Amino acid sequence: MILKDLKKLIIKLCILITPILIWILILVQVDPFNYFNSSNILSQETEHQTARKLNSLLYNSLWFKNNPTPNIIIGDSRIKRLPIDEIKKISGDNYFILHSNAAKLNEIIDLFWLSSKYSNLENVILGVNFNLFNQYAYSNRVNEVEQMFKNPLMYIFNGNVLEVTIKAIISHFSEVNIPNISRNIMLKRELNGKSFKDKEIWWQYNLSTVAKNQYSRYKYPKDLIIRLKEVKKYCLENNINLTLLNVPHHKEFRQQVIDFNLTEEENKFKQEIKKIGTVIDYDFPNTITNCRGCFTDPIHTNDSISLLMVKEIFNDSMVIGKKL
Amino acid sequence: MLFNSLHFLAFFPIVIIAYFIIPQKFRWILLLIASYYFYMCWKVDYIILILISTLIDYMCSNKMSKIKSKEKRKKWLYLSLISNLGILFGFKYFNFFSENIQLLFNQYNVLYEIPFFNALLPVGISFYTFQTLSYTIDVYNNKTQAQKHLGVFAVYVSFFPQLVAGPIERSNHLLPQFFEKHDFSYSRVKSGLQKMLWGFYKKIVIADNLAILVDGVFNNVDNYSGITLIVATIFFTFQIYCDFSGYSDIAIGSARVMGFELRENFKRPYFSKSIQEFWQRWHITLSSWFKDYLYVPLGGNRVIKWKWYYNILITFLLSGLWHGANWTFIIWGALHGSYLILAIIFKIQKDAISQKINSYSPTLNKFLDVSITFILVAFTWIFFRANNLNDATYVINNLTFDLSEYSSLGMQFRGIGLQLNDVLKCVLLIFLLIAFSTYERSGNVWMKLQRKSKWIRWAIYYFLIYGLLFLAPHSTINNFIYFQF
Repeated sequence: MILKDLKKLIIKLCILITPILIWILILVQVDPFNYFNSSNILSQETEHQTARKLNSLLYNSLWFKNNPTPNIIIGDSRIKRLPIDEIKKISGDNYFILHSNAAKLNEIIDLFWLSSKYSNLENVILGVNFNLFNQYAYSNRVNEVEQMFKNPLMYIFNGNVLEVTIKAIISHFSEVNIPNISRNIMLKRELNGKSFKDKEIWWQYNLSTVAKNQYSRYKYPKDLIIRLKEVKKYCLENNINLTLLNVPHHKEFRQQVIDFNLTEEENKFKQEIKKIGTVIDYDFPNTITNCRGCFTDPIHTNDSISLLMVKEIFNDSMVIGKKL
Repeated sequence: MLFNSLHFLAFFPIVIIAYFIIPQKFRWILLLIASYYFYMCWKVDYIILILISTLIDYMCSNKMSKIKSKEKRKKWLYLSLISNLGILFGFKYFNFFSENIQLLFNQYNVLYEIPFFNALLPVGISFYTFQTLSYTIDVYNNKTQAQKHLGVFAVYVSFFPQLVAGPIERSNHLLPQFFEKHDFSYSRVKSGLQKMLWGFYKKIVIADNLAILVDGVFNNVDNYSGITLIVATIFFTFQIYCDFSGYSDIAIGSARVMGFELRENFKRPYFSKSIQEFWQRWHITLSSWFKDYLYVPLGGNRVIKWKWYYNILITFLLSGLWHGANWTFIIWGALHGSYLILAIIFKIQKDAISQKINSYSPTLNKFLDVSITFILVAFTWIFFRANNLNDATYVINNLTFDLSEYSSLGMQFRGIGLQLNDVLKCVLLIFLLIAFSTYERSGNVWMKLQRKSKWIRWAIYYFLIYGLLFLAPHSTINNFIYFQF
């Protein structure tokens, strides 16, 4: 009787566990984020369309962990467009852009510390803008990535990884790209049903909603300054060149800083980051910030402006931008 | 060791397999080793406190059992009470009292330095202390026999499923079970595992997801206002229930796998129609402990009215203090005591209103009773969760909101690092909990599911297991809230 009961229990537990084991096998084979760095099933294009698009933080962090470079640019989506090939052509150095969409400054600092664990850094550029310099601008996603690095089970049983794996498999076999439905629904709701692919609507959305989100509640971020100082100290001790890049925003977005009475705070921000490292500033009234055509939306420059900035920064010949 | 850790995932099957392999007469040894190991995984040194408590209570109870005169037995009871409560006071309350005495002296410009006792609070100290106290008091009152077997008694004090956060067991319920032979039974093991599964789901999926917003808000309350504070308070109301009842379910389930039946600790408390009923459904083993060993000995309700109110208030004040050495817990207890006293004072008026509404619509009457009780309980949780009295006061002063604030809600959530989708996920999880509890009203959910098709049952198992794996917030492994008590 006992043996019969025991057999029944073991069989049922096996049935329960089997799908989990199958999932682990599939994930190890597909591995859309290259966690195990052993699978070549997915093309890089598919990985970019699925994994990097949905979770750029995890994808890029793992990429850097697997292929560390001594030179790194860390920031949010605004630094994503800096042309890496052009940087190599000018400087002769291999750079990696460790970006995360909608990264907050605390996460950029976290990413610096994460990258320092996997590489002997030599040149570091941090994308730091005033709209990130706010106590309320906080997110804690890098911690999850670090936990994942330590524990493969956290990668295997992550909701994001599950979603990306399914999308990647479908994409791989059918060449159909599944859109990020939840993000699209949310954006559509915030845009009152209009499409975010319409540049004008997207532009206005950035000015009204995004700017309001970033500037309507402001608190001086004491903790972030302390953490930036720790980064500075580490860089000094390890002979790392630290540069802070303040990318341009269109003047209509810059106007929001004035409208929310934050001009003084912005000046204070620039004074503070000057004490951390070399600051390259593009976010002040200039020919770029005055030109609507230079931007895809009020906070993202187009490819030609990104190229122009790279040429100025890496040739050390500042024309529009200025060193603070 | 945390239930929600990989460590436990390995520990539990090993203990279970060993438990059913070894003969009954040696099982207490296995349970004792497993329980002490379970506790020592947290901090090795503090096992000594459990040993002291075990030895003193064993000695006192056996001495008492040999003396017939109740008067002469008293000294052994006092020895047990003083030593157990002394340890509890030293580790849990000494600093609180010394800080407050010092503050009082400072008010009168008296400089008086009281030494600070710099030690970690042993996890679960309030739970096992109360469990052993109930035993010695029961032996003193001849309600239970003194346990002669030191080893079995040591297992009773330290039984790992319920050691650090209850349910607080009574000796006459748990002790005899250590002498019973528990054979492996498929239906019992399955029932235990089902209970554990739902407990894990409540803790890891529901409570831990809610905790992200709750901790974000309550650890920086002055950054938030109005509707965000209300959402955080409601979320905490469900978080603490899922956290603690989740623990109890895992404890009861894991004990059941081995053949032990522990007492239920929760019976759908948020469906209570009054505060009195709430306390018959919330942390039942603690409230019955306070009732049996404090409220009734004080005279209960068989005294004049003012003394009755006093008995209620003192019981709840001490219940608050039991939870933690902080004024926030004391006020939390005082609020519950006050609710009960007010319910007695205004009983006639309340009954009259209830009767009127009931004649119009019994469902509406019930709905109102449940809603009002829920709101009153949720309000007290503000004190329970707030880090200090200033934070609690800030939350209460800023609970009002106008609808225009709704537009800034997403912004405030982003400040915690949450997207609106994350919050919606939490709301859905709360609805799932309410649906489960509603289904539970007419009997044990798992028994009812047994009568459904196996496809439905297996779909539910997979839903819960995959929820556990993929919906758990992985960035942190959260302690159980009641561990701190």
